Amino acid sequence: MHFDELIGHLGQHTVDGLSKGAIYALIALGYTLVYGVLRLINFAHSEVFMVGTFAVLILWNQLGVENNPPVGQAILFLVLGLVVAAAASGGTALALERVAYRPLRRKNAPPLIFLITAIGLSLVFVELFGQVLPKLLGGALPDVFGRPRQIVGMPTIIQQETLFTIGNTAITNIQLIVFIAAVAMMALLDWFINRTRYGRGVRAVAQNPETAALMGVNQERVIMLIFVLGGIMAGAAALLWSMRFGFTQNSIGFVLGLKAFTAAVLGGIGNLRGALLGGLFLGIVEVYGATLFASNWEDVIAFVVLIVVLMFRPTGLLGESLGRARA
Amino acid sequence: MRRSYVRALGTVALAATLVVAAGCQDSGGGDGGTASGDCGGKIAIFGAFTGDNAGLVIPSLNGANLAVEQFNTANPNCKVTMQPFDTQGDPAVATPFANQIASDNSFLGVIGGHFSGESDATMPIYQAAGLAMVSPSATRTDLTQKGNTSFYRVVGNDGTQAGAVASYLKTQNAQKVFMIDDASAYGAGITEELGKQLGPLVVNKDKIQERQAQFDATISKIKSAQADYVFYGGYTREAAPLVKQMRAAGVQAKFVGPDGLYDTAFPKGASGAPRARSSPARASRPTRPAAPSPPTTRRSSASRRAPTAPRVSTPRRSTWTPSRPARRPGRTSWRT
Repeated sequence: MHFDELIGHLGQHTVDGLSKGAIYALIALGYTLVYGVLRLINFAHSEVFMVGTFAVLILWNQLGVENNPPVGQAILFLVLGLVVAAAASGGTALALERVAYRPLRRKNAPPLIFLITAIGLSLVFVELFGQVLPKLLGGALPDVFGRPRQIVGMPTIIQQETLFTIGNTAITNIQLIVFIAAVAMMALLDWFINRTRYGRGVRAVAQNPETAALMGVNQERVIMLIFVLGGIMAGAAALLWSMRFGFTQNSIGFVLGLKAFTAAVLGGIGNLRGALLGGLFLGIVEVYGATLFASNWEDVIAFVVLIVVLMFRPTGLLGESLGRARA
Repeated sequence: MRRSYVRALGTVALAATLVVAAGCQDSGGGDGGTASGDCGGKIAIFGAFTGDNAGLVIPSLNGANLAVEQFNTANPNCKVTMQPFDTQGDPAVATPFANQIASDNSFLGVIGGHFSGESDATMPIYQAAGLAMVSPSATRTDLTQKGNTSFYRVVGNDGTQAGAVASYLKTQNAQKVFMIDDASAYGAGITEELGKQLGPLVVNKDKIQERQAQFDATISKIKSAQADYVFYGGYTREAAPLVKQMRAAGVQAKFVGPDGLYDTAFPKGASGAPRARSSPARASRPTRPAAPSPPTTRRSSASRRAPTAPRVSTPRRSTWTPSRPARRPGRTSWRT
């Protein structure tokens, strides 16, 4: 137990936790959106994120990006990265929906079938990027697919530097960018769901699919929309991940996906603001736990906190709802 | 690459021995009938030929293939074949393969296991079948202390390696060593042994877990300890992102690791921009090194910073289980 370390640097650990949780929260949005509308846990969403990181990696590799480019170029690479990652992740999510889930829905398959399909798809993607693509593209992209299932580093786009210090808490440029970008993306999504016509359709289908259909909401279009939106958020998370941690691997989505799913449940699955709150909360709890005990305890702490929270608030911190009532 | 060569050559030698043994089988063979009549036969080799840590094992497979090829060229009338079994380093995958090999009379011997965990799991099976297994890289200390008569290895064990790291750190006049391990039998074992030998030089330690990717808490511990050396007991998959994040956070402590990092994926994962190094355009910009010079995979020239790894001549490995825990079942109902 290192209480003195935790208390002595409480601000620092909180900042670290917030920037860690921001990425969880962005991925958690994908789980929560799909669950809110379809009541389906899309376990393949973690692989949507993974595809996004590979898209960024391939882009930067093809552009010949080097470590620490000048500021102008760095911004260009980040913006291009965001576009490519969002397109790749959104496209992947949409393809999953069209190829795998829609035929099942047409046949009114029972819920378990969706779950197993999602897990199966997740494995398919992990092995596709771990084994098949290295075989097909290993020669063309040796820095990306040189060896099956290898871990690949990416160039450092922005050198991490301390921007300002409050007390003994140092806030770095990357932490600030990650946090602000993540919160901005989520605010944008929240606005989209709550304020626009398309968002109203999403909320309507979430509340009652049959009535929404009777009122003229195109249900299939809404479902495609939520998959794409979730994918775009995962793509943004992939870019922030690439910028902050600078590596990827075919199996990278698994742990992150599990954490993001936990964050979604913690905040109240189906609830967008809950995903944000759950993600940030989970990030902070993990860093505190890792500091207090050892880093290999962070998952234990995170899941114990999840269980405790669910004991007192079985529907999560903010309750289950996309938009509003969901009885 | 030096270590890899040493290991690959070791495997060549080892395979050659087995190949010769296979070739001579005809004179003394009683009931163990060989596949091709009087001469030749089959050797099994098993290990993690794919998976996260395959970079440690593939040089050994290549070495063994070379040895078989050389023997077959030299003895065209007595060809030996070698059959690889990819266990991904998982004892649970290695065990069925071991049963398969043990029940097949045409196998004359086994090269492996490459990791300690899979070796430990399959040792009794090979002993019962009377097959010798020779490991190029399983280093857990207790493997040779269990009274198993089948298991041989051509490397030293984890105890020798920890000693070499300790004496290296002492010659480098390390004052504050921060120790991290991945809580695996291999990583934790070496780190604990090293801790005993370094004594008061260890300022603090931390344990991470397999597949961990974010190391903020560990890095702030390193910072508050003001360590001048960081020792990591474990494998590439966690070490590469750890080093990268340490350097990005401005930690300049030298990074020392055992043979779990003898993998070409380590510099690749830890640095990232392979073109940047050779680019003259960037040369004038004063940039902090984004990655440590990976000591075990490149020859260090006099001009480069001193290698940060100990000159250890033997060691390696133990358990690695790439098990995916079962997903949490979620409540799903379409259109409730």
